Amino acid sequence: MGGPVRVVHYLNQFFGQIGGEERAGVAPNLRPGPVGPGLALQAALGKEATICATVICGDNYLAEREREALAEIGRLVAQEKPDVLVAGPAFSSGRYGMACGAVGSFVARSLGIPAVTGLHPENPAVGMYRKRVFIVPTGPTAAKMVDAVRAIAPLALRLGRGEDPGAPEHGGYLPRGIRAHRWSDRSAAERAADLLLARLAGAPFESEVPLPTYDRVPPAGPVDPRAALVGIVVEGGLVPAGNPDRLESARTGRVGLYSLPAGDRMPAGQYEAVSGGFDRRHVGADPNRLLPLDALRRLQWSGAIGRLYPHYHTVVGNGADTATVDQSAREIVAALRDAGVQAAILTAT
Amino acid sequence: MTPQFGAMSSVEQLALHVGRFPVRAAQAADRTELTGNGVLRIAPSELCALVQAEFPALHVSLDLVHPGDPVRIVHALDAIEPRFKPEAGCAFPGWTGPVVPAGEGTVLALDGVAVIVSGRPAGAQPAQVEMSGPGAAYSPFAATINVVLTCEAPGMSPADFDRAVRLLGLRVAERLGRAAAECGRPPAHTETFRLADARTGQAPPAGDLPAAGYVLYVQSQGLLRDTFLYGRSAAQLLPALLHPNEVLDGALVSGNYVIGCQKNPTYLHANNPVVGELYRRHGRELIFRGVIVANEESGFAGKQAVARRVARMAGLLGWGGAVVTKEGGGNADSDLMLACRYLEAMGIRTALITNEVAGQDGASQPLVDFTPEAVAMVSAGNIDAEVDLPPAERAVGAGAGADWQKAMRVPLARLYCATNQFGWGRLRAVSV
Repeated sequence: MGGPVRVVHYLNQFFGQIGGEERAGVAPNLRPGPVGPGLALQAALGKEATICATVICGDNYLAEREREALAEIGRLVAQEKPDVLVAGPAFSSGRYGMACGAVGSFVARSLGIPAVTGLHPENPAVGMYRKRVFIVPTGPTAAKMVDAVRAIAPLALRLGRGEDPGAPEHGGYLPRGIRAHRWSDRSAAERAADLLLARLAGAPFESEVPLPTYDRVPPAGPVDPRAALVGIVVEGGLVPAGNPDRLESARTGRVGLYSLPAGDRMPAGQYEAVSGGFDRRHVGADPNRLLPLDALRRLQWSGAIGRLYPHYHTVVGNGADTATVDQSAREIVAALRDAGVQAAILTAT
Repeated sequence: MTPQFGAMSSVEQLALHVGRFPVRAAQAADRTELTGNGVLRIAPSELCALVQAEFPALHVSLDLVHPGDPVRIVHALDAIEPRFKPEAGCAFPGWTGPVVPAGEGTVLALDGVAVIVSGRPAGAQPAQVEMSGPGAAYSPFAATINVVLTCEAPGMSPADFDRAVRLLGLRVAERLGRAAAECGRPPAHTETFRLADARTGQAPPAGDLPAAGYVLYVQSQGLLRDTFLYGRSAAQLLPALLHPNEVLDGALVSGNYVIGCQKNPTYLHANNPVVGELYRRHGRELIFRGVIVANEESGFAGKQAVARRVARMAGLLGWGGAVVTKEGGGNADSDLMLACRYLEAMGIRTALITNEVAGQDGASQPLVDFTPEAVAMVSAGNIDAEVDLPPAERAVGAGAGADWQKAMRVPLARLYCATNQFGWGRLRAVSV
């Protein structure tokens, strides 16, 4: 592979030398070559890389119109065909830090171009974007610009060349919390016994699996079920018999959407469950025990619930990772909200 | 055969002698026997007929597969080590013979051989073994000579099929183990498992050594998700205390066809790596005080109740620490975490072994449940990571055909025992 690494540099309106806060609403635009701190970055990259273009966007524009801004920025970046994107560095800046993270993450996911930025470790953008964007730790302010670009440059070169960035401590970036495989020289059973003995001896020890951090979601406020449009979401992959859409039996992000039958129960023989995670033999004979339409209709007729949304969504759990599930959930919520559903019942296997 | 009950040993004196016969090759032959130079000769028609009387509708075919063969074994259900107990006459109590407490006496094993049952009951998760190539590192059975029993039974009820293939696998394993007993030679080496000190014949002096135990969770949640203790489904099991020798001597049989990489086959129950490790350190760094077997109930209230009983039992036994393992994932993470919480609340330090569901890109949360007390976990790898497998010259097992011979990219989930949570393997995940 010959030639210098092609770099696109992302800056906000201030570092992009368009203006200060009053220009924070400027739409994405492109300048050829390096701009502002891009000159220091180019010096740090030396002959091995070329900043072929700089994309500039106002921090407010990006914050307020994220989807459009990212689409446009993505388009501008793509046409330059870079090997790597460098965003910022943004130090402790809140909005600019989020913008660098969002742009880097978008470019990495949608265009497959690795992205690196520089942020102070306490910048809230770190927590949000550390997995998708390589974040080089910096000081709190642009007074440390030269140090920051000198730390970013070697990582940008490695990423641009398609090389392994190395472990965080060696690669000079903040740990991303991404799980990668390694072969140990000892079995997991040996390591478990070692770990237990260390704990019993009061010796220092280290866990191999980080405790997950889940969001704490405050529940939505109560609704009056007698007036509500109620939807139902079913885990277990409940589909019409024959699985016409070929919903997978494990670890899928696809969501099934089907009509509820008009009658007072799910009819026998017309549905099946495809999730491989439970014994699903009996679902065909009585799908009401997975989607309790019989009970829901009784509640509806007695006035205990207002109306039933006439379709149901279904997902398959069975080993799906949380990111996949998160995506399916967002899709379902958007659809239910569009339909005016106010409350949803979830059944699981 | 009537079980012979001799004088009962004290718990410390209870000794299991595992005599191993190394096998260097297996071949089809007219009679089933183990030759003097370590060749296992197998009569396929004899073995394939071992459940014919009870289940005439079961079609069985047999293949022999060696490490390094360009072969992919598909739809693996259970794997079983060939074993035979000359005095008791039964290596799998409750299955191949009456229920006699396991864990004592001599058991003969064919070293380096596994019986692998292959079938496609509806709802079993597909699992494959790569006998060569980059996928071989992920399965313990890439290193064993495998006697693959391909089972098909169109029209047989799922419950009957399940029972038939289990009985078949265990009977074949015992028949092959019997070849060792009949070969007229002693085992190449014998390992003795006994809690008493080998030199003094007494329990090792506790002194400052901490007492530790092993909490072994099995999953019994219905057909194809079942584990058996002395022949009985563990579905109604309340936590049970076992001598570690019982685990090593066929008390536990697997009928659990969870995600392929997570399986705890019968082979790994009888060779449980955690039991092996705790025994190795017994009397030197800890006092091994037993194994508690508990079931992963389906409902949350049941899980809590079981975990609390486990902690109480461990407390009554005076354990200072426990290694805890689970079977499967997802809801099983809850069992693991509940056990951790209640054991720690009892003052018992825990170390957990678990695989991870961190997504194909490694960026998802590794577990679906957690408790803040879970500060000491060992990783058995990420089931979602993908592996590129080259084509296999031959596919063996139920449904094996040209489609199964192709090159494929599969999630680790498909590779049999790749993230085994008894801790067999050396694969782990780290944060980058």
